[in-house]
Amino acid sequence: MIEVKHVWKKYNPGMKNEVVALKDISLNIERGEFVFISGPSGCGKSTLMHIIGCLDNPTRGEVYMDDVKVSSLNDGELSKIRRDKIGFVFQAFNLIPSLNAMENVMLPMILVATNKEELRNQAKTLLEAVGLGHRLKHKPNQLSGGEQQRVTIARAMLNDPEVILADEPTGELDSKTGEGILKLLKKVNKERGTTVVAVSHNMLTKKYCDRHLKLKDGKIVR
Amino acid sequence: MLKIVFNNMMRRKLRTALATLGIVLGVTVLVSIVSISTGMTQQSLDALGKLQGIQVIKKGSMDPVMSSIPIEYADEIKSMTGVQAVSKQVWVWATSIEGPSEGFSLSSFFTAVLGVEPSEMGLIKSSYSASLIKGRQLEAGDRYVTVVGKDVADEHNKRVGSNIEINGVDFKIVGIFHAGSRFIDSQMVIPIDIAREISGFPNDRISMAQVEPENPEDAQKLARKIELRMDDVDAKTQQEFSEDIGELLGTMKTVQWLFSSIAAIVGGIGVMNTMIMSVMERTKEFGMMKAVGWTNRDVMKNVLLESIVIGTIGGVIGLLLGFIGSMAINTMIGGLAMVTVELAMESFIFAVALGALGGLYPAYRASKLNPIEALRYEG
Repeated sequence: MIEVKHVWKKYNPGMKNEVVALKDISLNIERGEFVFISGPSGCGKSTLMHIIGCLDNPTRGEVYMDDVKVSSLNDGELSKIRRDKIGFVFQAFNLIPSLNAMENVMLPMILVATNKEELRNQAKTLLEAVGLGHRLKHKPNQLSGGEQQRVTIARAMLNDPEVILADEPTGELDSKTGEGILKLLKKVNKERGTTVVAVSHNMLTKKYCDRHLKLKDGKIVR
Repeated sequence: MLKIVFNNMMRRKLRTALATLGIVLGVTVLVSIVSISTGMTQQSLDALGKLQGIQVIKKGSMDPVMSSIPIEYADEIKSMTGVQAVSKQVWVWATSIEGPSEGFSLSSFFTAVLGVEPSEMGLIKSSYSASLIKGRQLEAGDRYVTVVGKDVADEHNKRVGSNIEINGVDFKIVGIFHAGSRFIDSQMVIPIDIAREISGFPNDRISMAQVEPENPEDAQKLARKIELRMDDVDAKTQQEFSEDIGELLGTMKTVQWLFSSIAAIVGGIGVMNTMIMSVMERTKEFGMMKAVGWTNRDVMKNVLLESIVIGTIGGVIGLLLGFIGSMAINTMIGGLAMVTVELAMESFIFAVALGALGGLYPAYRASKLNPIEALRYEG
């Protein structure tokens, strides 16, 4: 489903302060897989995830999603892929403080949905699925860290994406709440067949993944 | 999207209020000032509409009060072919009516005392005699009597038969006219000899000669003939006066728009400042919005819409305050300001456009944010 072919990523290429974040990375991620990518800080795991998530382009190499070469698409086409095929879960949750839980879940589709009522129902169902049926109208500052991360998972699931990309999903949570989030991601992966790629320092993720990749100095070492 | 916009505006209420206030002040100033010029234009046009015949005054004079021409000119014009009658007039300001006025009064500011030869009154068409509503006009042999405009009578609570003191001299009101123009209805007509007496205007000069052409259609041609014969006068028909005054008021309106625009542009800069701050604060949010599929255009629309909403709210409030301001001006100095539908629409569009312009750069900046850098931003 996701094919990364000989991807290189350099920051400030050709300059004195050039940084090579990824070195000739190749990898295949199958539909329905739960892939855990770990590695020390600065090893390039977030960069890899941004490239897979169509947020960044590789300096060299190609990325395919469902046989579409995403590494050569324009901004508008990438936005559409991010909206329809990818769900993001961020370490810092990144919810809009002025919107309530339901509105935050609706955000990816709020400008394009023709049937707002259907969108609202969908958001409600997803929040119920992540155990927040009683927090629909709560604003982010009225929710705990774990609850906020559940809202981002519900938001990531809105378009029934093919892949959820989770960047340090447990990074700002205590271990118990963090495990709850990992369980939830596994549940989504199993029940919906959604591919999950999680980048994390949290080795507990290993317990829930199908495949564990280790990154070091911009290379996959295992 | 509107809900997101409103929610965001409410996040920093004071900042939004201050940005809106900038627009409000600009529009209020604009509406108040332009309404005065619009009102003055209307008043002038009303007054000009009542003018009759040809007005002959000193070349370059803006107003009969500032003009002085030799009295012989009146007889010379009278002898010209195509002239039916000529009225000699002396115009002076009423420096005091019923004693020196306390503070500013529009009617005394505009009150001109017009001295005419009573025996000539019946010969020419005049806006005073044509609009007499009470009493009579001046007659031969009249001395300290006056025919006053309705605004003067109303302001000083006078009727036909009352006495009125003009520049320290008592006059008996024998008639009241109502031409429907503020400028004309603020005037008083007295015998020309008495006008000279109270003002010291020389006996061998007059302020203006009002000429009645035999054929009104030939007025313009006759005016040119008069100007050819006497090269130190301006002879103007009503139409020519309208053109001159229209041009003058047009320039005045442009200057007022310019000044008001400066005030409003300051408001626009306020909006821009607010939106730049808002975009900086929300950098991470825009990064997330882009990550979840919002396009550059969606982000741009979101920011732009917010500044347009600020402009719209500012425009509506500014328009209301401007309207109230112009009503206050009317109450204080009487029927001068005028808010037309055109002015209201122009000011409103101006406010919305200002909001949009203020938001344009911040919106562009937000739309061009790199999502990864935006997500990493720690403001």
